[in-house]
Amino acid sequence: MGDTSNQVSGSRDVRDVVEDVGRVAETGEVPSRIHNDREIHEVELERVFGEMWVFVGHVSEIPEPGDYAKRYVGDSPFIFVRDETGEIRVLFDSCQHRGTTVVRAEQGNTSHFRCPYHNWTYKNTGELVGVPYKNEFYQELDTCEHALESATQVDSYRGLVFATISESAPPLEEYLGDFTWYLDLNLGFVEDGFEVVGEPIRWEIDTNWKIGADNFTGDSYHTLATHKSAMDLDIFPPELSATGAERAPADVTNCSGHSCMLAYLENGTLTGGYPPEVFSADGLSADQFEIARGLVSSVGTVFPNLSFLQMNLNADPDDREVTAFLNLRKWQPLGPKKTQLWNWILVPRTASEEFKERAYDTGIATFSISGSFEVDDFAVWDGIAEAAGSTYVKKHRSTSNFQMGVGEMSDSADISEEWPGPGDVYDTNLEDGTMRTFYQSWYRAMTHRRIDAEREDAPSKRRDRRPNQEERR
Amino acid sequence: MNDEHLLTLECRQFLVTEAELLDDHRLHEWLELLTDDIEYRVPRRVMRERGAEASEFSDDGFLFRDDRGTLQTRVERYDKEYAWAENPPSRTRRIVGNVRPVERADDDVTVKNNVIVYRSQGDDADHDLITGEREDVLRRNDDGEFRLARRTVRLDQTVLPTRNLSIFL
Repeated sequence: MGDTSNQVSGSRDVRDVVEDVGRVAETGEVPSRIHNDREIHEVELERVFGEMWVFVGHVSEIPEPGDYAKRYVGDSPFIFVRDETGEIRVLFDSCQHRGTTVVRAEQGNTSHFRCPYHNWTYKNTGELVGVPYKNEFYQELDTCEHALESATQVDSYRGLVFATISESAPPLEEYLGDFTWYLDLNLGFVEDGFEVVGEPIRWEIDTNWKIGADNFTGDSYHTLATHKSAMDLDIFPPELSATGAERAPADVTNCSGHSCMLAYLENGTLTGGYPPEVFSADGLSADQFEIARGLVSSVGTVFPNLSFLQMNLNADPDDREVTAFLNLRKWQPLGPKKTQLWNWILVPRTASEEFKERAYDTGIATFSISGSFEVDDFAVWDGIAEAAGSTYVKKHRSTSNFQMGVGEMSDSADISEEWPGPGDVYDTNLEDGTMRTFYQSWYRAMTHRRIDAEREDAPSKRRDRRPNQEERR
Repeated sequence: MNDEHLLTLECRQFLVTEAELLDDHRLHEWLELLTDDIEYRVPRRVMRERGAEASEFSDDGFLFRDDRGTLQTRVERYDKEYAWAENPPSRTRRIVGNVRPVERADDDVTVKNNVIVYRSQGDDADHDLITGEREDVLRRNDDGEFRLARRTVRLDQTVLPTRNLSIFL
């Protein structure tokens, strides 16, 4: 373990910048510099990606024993694999001998991983089973001591597999905390859950990972500007958008350090979206199911860099129908101004093949590298990092504004009392509290605190729970 | 010049004209070159071990899987001032080469060709390069002119080095 003080490491300048972020709940401002700064990026790798739980993949990506995929926790390479017994593992991709990576493909199926350097060979459980000339030259090497190492903690929730390289991170269930209510709502309303279609689409953009992660906590405000063209063409029918009169909005802030927005039509008036036969109320409360049934849009971020999105969109309004899909997004930091995107489209497992295809097409036509929504976001986000990295920003301590909903800015009301779910909840999608939650969590992580302020003093119980049978499906 | 040479030239001429329309942002004219039942696909390329059973080009994962309607919607969106991804427009240069007809059936010619797309957009000297092999089906219409009936772009990249695909390949 490194430095465990609550003070962020780095120069005094950077410490001041981070402390400014810590006041975001009151000021509604964050120093722009955090969106492009080498020193901050390096501290993030250690304190955010080295301490938090990071999304690795969905169980449906590796359905068969031996299926594996190469994944990353921050900048650390891992193998996401289902071993020969069906257990899901997340193994550090580095040979125990000289340390090179043993996986050279993106994904595949194998019973063994063989290191190309000296042919040390591991079973897909990680166990070291082959050391050439062991009996001659490595007689006293204890192979049991040299299995591929597991990520420090691995666990899953509703098919989402996470790992952390921190020993002191709380168990996943505690880390997700109350936010599981919203993960349940987004993942649990269909019979038998969701499955990933194809492989995640990956590409690299010249911006900071936090820009996308903060945007995906909510920011319905930008939809009206950045995505105006998609609304004008009915790709996103305006009646379903943030200005639509019929939709009931909720912004969920301060939910165990995570946040999201959702909007739904009450009394099940929504038609389209998912086919009626895939819905199942089992496993959700009546309140959750009622919201899920009418969900028109829903986005959120599990701190730090897993986002989810569910929307009702139309890739061809003249000829097609409004269709819903589930989008998972990982914002992998490659540098202060370089992010690799990982984009998964998921569909209800029990839906017809025809629906799955239509849902996937709608997903890639709107929220992927060529998606009509996404392409415009990326045209904007580069610019944030460009300006944020400038001398001007440093010199003038420029700030970015997240003040919607602070103080008397708007008439939005706190509906947490009557709202059935957890968190501090507001009756609008036009406020920035979801993003302030994200930056509050970032501040807490950067100063080595737990992101869930309310549980900070609770003792953390270390657990190494493996995905249970149901979650493995 | 034999029939095969003529056919190759004719295919090449079509693809070069098409590239010109795309480079010049004449997207509505480009749509006119597509058949009503066009299938436009860019499968996800996956880095796999040599000899892996699964194909390097995904059967299920796509960067584009479009028909005429979805392509038309994309083009109409780029007409809008608020389509920020293409405002200002990407500066592109498509180089089409290695044009080789590989199959003929009735009105259809399957033609493989390689494409390099140079793209720049920012206020600096950087550019993105996207390369791949295209397998196109060109179909003669009633006037004997080619129209694009199917395109599959087999990219060389598994992780795309460009911020978005607000351009056609």
